[in-house]
Amino acid sequence: MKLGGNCLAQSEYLYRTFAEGDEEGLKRLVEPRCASILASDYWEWKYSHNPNFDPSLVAVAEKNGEIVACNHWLLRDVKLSSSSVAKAVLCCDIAVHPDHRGRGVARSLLVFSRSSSLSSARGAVLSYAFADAELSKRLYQPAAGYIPMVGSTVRYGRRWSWRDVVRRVEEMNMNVGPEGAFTRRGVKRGFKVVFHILGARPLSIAVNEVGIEASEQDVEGSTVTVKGDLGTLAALKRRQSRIRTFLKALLTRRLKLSGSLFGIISLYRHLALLEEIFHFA
Amino acid sequence: MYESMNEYRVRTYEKGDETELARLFNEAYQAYAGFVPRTPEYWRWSCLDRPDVEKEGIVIVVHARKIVGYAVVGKSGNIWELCFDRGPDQERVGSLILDKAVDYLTRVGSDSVTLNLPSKDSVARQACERLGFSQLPPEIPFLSVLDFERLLGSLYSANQQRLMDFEGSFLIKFQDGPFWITPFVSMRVRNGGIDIASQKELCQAVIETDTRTLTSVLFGTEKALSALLRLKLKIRPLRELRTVLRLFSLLRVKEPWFVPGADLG
Repeated sequence: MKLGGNCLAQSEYLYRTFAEGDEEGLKRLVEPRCASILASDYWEWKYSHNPNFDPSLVAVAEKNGEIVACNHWLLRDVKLSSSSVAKAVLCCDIAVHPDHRGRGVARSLLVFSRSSSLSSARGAVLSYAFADAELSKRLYQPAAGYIPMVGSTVRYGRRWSWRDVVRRVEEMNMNVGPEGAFTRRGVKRGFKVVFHILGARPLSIAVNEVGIEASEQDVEGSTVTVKGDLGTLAALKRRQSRIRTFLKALLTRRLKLSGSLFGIISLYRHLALLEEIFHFA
Repeated sequence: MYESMNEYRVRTYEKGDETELARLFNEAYQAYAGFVPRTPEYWRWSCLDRPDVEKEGIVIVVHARKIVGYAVVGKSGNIWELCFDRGPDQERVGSLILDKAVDYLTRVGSDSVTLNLPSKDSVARQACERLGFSQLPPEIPFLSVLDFERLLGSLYSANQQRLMDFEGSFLIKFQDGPFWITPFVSMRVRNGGIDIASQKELCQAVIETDTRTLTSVLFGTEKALSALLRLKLKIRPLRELRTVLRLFSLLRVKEPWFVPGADLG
């Protein structure tokens, strides 16, 4: 490990702070993760146009001269109580190129950001980040001692259309023929699941001779019916251990199934397919 | 574009609104911590200039020429900010803004809406539930302290009134000691003032802990007594237990932590 000025060499990666000309490399890493509506100007807006942007608080990892990972710190005032504020950094857009994941690059970036004295020189007292619980457990808590501030902010949502799911199903049908990838993955034909989700319109997903069909109108005559809320659906989409989350949701009655035993077994067998369908919803 | 509803008028953003909107936001969330206090400059960047926000997506409710509430709605389906005056008509204003926000999103072709609210804001939560919203898994903020000396100084300033009659000297010793944290912090509280230093000093009580536990205690996610029972907080000599518990009780952040969507970046 070599440390010099504001850079750190560790195994095959070089960790350093932002330098002129890094913008394009950072955009390539960060923008594909955004919703398409945000993606094109996202980095420019969030960093270049931010009145508090300090390029020296951006850390990058490079290999053979190419930026393969990044971590951005945004300096800001944060309310500490009803009458006082403190300087804090929002740790955001930590991204690692898929080819370099699982090698501890993100962890090293978090540590590198702390090894630089820049944040403390600017008076930052806190660092905070937003992540799902699993990423935090694997990365933020062990690498940098983050604690969760659970329970103080709630999130609400409503969905009045499943157009994006219908579009996704159409795309999937175009990409695979009737004897394509779904069949090879063990998907059985003649299956129909209807979702009655609180906070959303009913939706049916059927797998039949012509492929997959998603519909907001044809919601009768299902093999199995799933009742739940948007929160449970979002949790199922988000969790890495899908099966455990699915079973937990069933046991806690946040997800209710009705239908024949065959239908419920079919639903279980189609979980991977359903996850693929709902992934971008 | 204007639309009247009895004495309430709904309009979209007009140049120069940001000063009033920032004031309203800071006032409405006065009782919370964790958000960025709004200035017109920050509001312009976080809301007006956001890539998915257009002027028509900033829904403003006016009553007797005064802005009483607003929402910043992005075409991506996020309500980045929702804020309304906590007057006698707050339920009606809250519902009106949410209703208009959903109208806007259906017009621009969005399929869904999401927003962050403080868990203690029952008025806004009820307004959401009346409009068919359902609770989603939250974006959980994770917090880590970079500088305990500065943090303790800030917490002391925030609670100075309550600490006026408190006296004592304490040495905090970190058992885990990550490299960015100094291993010792000493605090001397007396005569309404505080001296904090990152060095080992002779003090009336020694507090042995780790950075995560102290962060949890100072930010109110764990009580000092519970950390003590879990053996994550040790106090020597034990006779200073009450003084140390009182110190943490006076210092800790009491306001609930709320992070509006616009602050997520």
